[in-house]
Amino acid sequence: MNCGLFKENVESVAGHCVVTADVTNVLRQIIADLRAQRVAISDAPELAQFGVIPTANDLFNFEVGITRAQAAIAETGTLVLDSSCERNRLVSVVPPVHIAIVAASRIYPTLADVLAMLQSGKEVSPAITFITGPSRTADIELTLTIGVHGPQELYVVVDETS
Amino acid sequence: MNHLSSETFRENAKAALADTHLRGALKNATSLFGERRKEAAASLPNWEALRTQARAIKDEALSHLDRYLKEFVENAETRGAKVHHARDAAEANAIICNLAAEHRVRVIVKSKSMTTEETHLNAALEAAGMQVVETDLGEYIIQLADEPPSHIIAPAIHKTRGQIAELFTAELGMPPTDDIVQLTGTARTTLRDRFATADMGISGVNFAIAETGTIVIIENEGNIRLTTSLPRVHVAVMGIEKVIPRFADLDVFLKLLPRSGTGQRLTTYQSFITGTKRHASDEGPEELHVVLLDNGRSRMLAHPVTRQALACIRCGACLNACPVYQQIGGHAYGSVYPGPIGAVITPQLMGIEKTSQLPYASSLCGACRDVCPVKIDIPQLLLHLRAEISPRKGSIAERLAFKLWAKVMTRPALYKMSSVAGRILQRFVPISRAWINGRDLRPIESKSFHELWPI
Repeated sequence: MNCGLFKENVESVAGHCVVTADVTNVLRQIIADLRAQRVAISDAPELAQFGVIPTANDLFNFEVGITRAQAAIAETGTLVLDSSCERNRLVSVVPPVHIAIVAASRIYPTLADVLAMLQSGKEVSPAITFITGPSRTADIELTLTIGVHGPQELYVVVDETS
Repeated sequence: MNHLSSETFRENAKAALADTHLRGALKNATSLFGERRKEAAASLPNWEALRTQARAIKDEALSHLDRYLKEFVENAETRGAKVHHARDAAEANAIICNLAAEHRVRVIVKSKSMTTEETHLNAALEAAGMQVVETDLGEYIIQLADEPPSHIIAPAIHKTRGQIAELFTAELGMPPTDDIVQLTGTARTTLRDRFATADMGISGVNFAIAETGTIVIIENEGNIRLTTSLPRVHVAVMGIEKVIPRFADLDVFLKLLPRSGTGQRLTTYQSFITGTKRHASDEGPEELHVVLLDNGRSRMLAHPVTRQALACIRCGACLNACPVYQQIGGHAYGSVYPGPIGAVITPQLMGIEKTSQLPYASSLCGACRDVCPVKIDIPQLLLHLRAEISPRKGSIAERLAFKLWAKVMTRPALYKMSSVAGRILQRFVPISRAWINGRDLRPIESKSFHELWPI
């Protein structure tokens, strides 16, 4: 139930969402459809086959960035990235496309549930980022424009097997 | 240049009313913002309960601010942040200029911060030889135009796309266009270079959590994430009133703030930063400095009536709802914080002497109070400020007139006589022009309500 509502809410803020049991193939397909040559990844081991971990010097030269998300919020369609688990801070914001993988079991119903989860450990992580849809602005004539400083496109792949 | 003064509010407002471009842009923006807020609020069945809860949390934080600030400072510093205390704008700017010099900083990227607008930080950094680049699209536009922001959350709300296109052509050499996507794309490309080379990032703070030492910053564009992740030093500037007690309190505020500001369920990004990175090889800045700014806030806190204005979470809803702001926009107020909440805060932060016209920039209709997510009674505060101003201001004739009026209105016999006299005299005496210029005044009827409907 969380999964369906989550997908619906990601799509309501102009994000793409795929729920699948075959994450690897879905990721390959998205990258192929985007015709992306340069793919950046976080240091999550299962992403190694899809791209390279960027260095400080070539960070701005990638077309796609792939990370995991450590949790998600169904009621808002939000991804939760915890930087103590993964080098996800820059790969998720600098490239023009961000693809995030989240386990279906890590989708929480509400914002309050996630806040409680984030505080349940011994320490709150030094950097946590909530992401709801692609980067947007309405600073010119209050007209919605997608993709200002962050990614112009956001793909969320929900792994229904975990 | 468009740096107006609060002292000339009346003239500023008159000029704004004559500017058709401005009024078109304002009408469009404030009505859209208003509709989106209304829809978003209606989508939550417990909106009223949330407002009450948010205010209770803010009241709790403000009535024990010393304790919660201390707790925040301890928790942030334990996790590697360095906290600085600034009594006023000059101290805050000096702290940040020194940090920049110490770290041999040349380029600084900034995300939107009303608090640094309040301290005029950019001017101080530029005077010290630093290059400061605003990265929020709206802030970037007004920095190029050398104007102050005209709205708390949409700084360039007063500009049309045509005016922005002209500005980009002149300042960035962009070919003329009316296309908002192209304008936004040009800003993105230009600012990417700045992000890549900046040595320091300066941000504001939306909420500071005492319990965990966390700062929370919310946005839509992604420039805050870049500002707080890429440069080697991050400086976060916050008013002391931004502290809330518990991490779990964020649930209420993250529901209210985006809905009240832009009508969104949640803004695109929230950054939760708790101290510095734990390992040298981790991503993120090497140093985090938090500057706590007082600048008149503890004076407001000490006052039992005005204290509630410190509960403001800077959503901008009262600006959009205000019939005065809707007509004249933000610049006319001549203050960093415009609109109803600006008319309350500015006299208290900057002193009432130079800002005494601002509390009168309201019809007291109460629309601001009705939309405020933390239930600040802005009309009450405006009346309170007017009462502080009126013994000093106002002519002797005006004071005498009101004394006489009070005498007459509290004595039925005198009142009856005066209305009879008024009926006759209005034929011969022209009513003061100044009084009827901005108001409708109907002539006194030949028979009063009482005479028509005798008891």
